[in-house]
Parts: sequence; structure tokens; C-alpha cells
Amino acid sequence: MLPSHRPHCSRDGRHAVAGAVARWARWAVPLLIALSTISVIAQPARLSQTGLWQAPGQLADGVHAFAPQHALWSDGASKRRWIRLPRGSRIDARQVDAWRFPVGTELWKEFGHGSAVETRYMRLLPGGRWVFASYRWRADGSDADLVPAAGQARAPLAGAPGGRYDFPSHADCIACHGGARSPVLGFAALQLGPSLPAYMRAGLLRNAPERWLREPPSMPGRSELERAARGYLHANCAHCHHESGVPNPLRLAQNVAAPPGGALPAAEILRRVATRNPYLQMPPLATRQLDPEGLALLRAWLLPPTTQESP
Amino acid sequence: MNPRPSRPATALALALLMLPAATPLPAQAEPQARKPARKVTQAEILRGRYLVSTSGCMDCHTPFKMGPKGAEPDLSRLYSGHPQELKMPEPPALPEGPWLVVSSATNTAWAGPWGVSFTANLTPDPETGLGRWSEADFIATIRTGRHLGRGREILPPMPIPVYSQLKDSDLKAIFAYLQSIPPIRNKVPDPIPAR
Repeated sequence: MLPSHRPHCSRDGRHAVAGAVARWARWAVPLLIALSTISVIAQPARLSQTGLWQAPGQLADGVHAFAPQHALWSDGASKRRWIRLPRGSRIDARQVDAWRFPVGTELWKEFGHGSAVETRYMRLLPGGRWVFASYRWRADGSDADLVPAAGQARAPLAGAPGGRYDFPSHADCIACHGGARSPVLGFAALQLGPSLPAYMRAGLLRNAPERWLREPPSMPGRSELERAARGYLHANCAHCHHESGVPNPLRLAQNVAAPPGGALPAAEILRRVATRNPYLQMPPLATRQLDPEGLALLRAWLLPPTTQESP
Repeated sequence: MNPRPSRPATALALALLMLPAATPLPAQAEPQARKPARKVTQAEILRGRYLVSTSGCMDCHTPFKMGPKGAEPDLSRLYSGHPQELKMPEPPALPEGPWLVVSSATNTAWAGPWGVSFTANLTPDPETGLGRWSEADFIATIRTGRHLGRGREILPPMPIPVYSQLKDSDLKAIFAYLQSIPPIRNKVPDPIPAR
């Protein structure tokens, strides 16, 4: 009996184990999936909960303010930006044009029209996934509340151009940050330029060339006008128009170590930058107003003097 | 941010999907793989051809012409979108009432609440079609409803709400097929926003 009984028992045992696993999987797998997505969905409900400040008007320890040399045009909004790295961690600058940020890196960007209207927040999770959030400031300036992932397009907002403001959706964030050389667009070698040595001395970077302490990277160009114009295109276009970006031969991203490149299709660039036709405009999102100063800069550099038109 | 297509426009896109695909895929030379970034099998290309032929792509992306039996797709322009030489006049103003949308006789130009849209050149021409696109670009476009996943929104009547639910393997097969057809140089006009 025993020999025949054993396999029978063993088979029952296997069935029992399989049944238990199946029962466990029925609730555990969906739970695990849900938990893995909560990290994306569950952002703090209020900006104050992200830990930007330790007291009203006082930045928390480890938060560094920064400003890129060349700004993205955001319909005339004023901006402030901050970064915080996890204690003891540093940014890897080995790839000079595509820095790698440590897990737990946080960045904030505040947009103002007279007063603060929005603060955007991004954070790097384990596994290399960035999460994004937008916070809408309360009218009394006491705090800012998380905007739904779908965003709020053309939200009524006093002080914004035309009295309307676009709070970006999660998909909008990814449209610009997701395909860039580094999802962090403004905290980069060429953008920090003269202020880079200070961040190096503060211990925020590793594998950065020592020479940057003496000669920080600068936007390439043969004249101040060219450097400014290339910087403008870099800030406003480079997140898509880089070497491995959109399948369009137009390359507007600048590199630390490379020469600035050849002639650009001036007419096409100006056609797309000088319109807010929503089907043609560049950048294709996050702006509804023309940038008169930026356009004047591009025209001054791209067009021969005899063909320049007034903006 | 660009304005999202209006609800009627989205409804139109969905309604169009409810129509049976009027045009079966014509007999043609067996499509051949080009030089893709990854190895594409002939089975994938044929799967893509099947999906394209059963999803109504031909109806808008190949211009119609008048034949002996009436309107028929102009196969010399297979999947090349709105003909560049066909300059469309202003769309007619529709009277108040339930009519919402008009289309050209070629079925490649559409006017509605979003403005005027022209169907895209899906052939692998590098200058005017999808020749420089990667498989990832194509998937990102269909998934997000944005050009290349990050540009302007794809306009009606393209039924993005439906196609965005295709599996990656189906989208890869469709892209493999579209990359296998003859390239046609045809620069489709830019869309025109509503006034």
C-alpha cells in the first residue's frame, strides 16, 4: 500500500500547493500590481508635503536653487527652480551632455504671473522611473494643491495671459521630459555654465571634468549673438531635437565638447517658432503666446540684415 | 498646450470606426521587408497587411478617384495621403443644424470643428512619409495621439481612441507592413486650425 499511497499523497500535496498558489495569486498579483503603480499615482496632495520648505519661506536642508542660462519660454511666466539630492549622493556627470541623477533626486519649478501660480515637481524612483506632478497655488498663497493627472487646460486664472492657464497633464510632462537626453532639462552642464563650479564645490557632482572648475562649459558660438540664439534653441527645442530625438534631421541640441554645427533651416525654424497655430507651432505644447524677445533674437541671428522683418 | 479636439470631433472619429471598411485591400505585389532597426519577419508584415486592410486605413490614407464603377482607391498613390497638388478651397460653411463635417472627394481632406485636416503619407518616403520614423515613434504616436508622441495632436477623423488600444505586437506589425510598401514622395499640407 505504501508505495502506491505515496505518489497519491504527493500528487495531492502538489495539487494543494498549486491551489494555494493560485488562491494567493488571485489577490496578491493584483495587489502587487496596484502597489507598483501607487508609486506613480500617489503624489503628495499638497506641495508643502513634498518637503521643499522647512518653514514658510525657508527652504529645507539640502535644497539648492538654480537657474539655467537659457530659459524655456513659458508665456512670460517668472520662474524659480530648486533641486535636492538624497543625502550623500551625487550626480554622475560622466556623460557630459546627459547627466545621470541618483535615485531620490527631486526638482521643483515654480511659475508665476505676479504671484506663484504653479509649481511642478519631479522625482526619480528606484528603477530609474521619473514621476511628475503639478501643484496649483491657492489664491491666498498658503500652499498649492495637486493637479489631477489629466491636467487642467485653459483654467481661469487671474494674472495669466488672457486670464487662462494650462496646468500640464502627466502625459504633457512626459512629452517633453520623456524623450530628452536627460529628463532633467535645466540642471545640466551647458545650462548651468558659470554657476557650475559652485555646484561642483558643493559636492553635487562626480566624474565631472576638473577643468570645469576653471573653465565651465559655455554655449558654443562665434559671437555673443550666436551663443544667445543657439542657447535659446537649446532651451526651447533640444529636448526633442537632439541626436537620438525626433526623426527629423534638424538638430538644435548643443553639446559641451562638439562644435556648434552648420547652417540651420532659418525659414522653417522661424515659420514654426513665429506662429501659435496649434498645429504648426514650436514648441508644440506648453505655450500659447509668442515670445517677442526670443523671436527678435532668432531673426537677428538667422536672417541676413536685409531680410529682417520687424517682429 | 494645444486645444483638444472637440467632443463632436471625437464622436465623429468613433462613428467613422463604426462604418465597415469600405475598401478591401487590393491585390498587389507581395510586400517585402526593408532594412528595419530590428529583424522583421515576413509573417509580421503579412499580419500588418491584414490589420491595415481590416481597420479602414485605406479609406482615408489612399486618395479616391473615379473609376468605371464609381469611386475607388487610387492604388498608384497607395497610403500616400492627401495629394500635394490638390489644393483645397475654403470648406463650405455648413448651415445651422445637425451636419458637422465635410470631406473631399478624395476622402483625404476633412473639415470640421477642429479646422481642416489632411490624411498623412504613411509610405516609407524619408522626406514626406514615415521613412525616418522608428517603430517606437509609430507606437508612441498611436498610443498618445500626439505626433511622434510629443508633438501636435493627431486630428480627426483619425480614430486614435480605437487604434490606441491595439497591442504593441499589432502596432509593430502594422508599422512593418507600412515600411514594406513602395515609398511615394507626397508632401501633405499642414492642417489648418478652426477660425
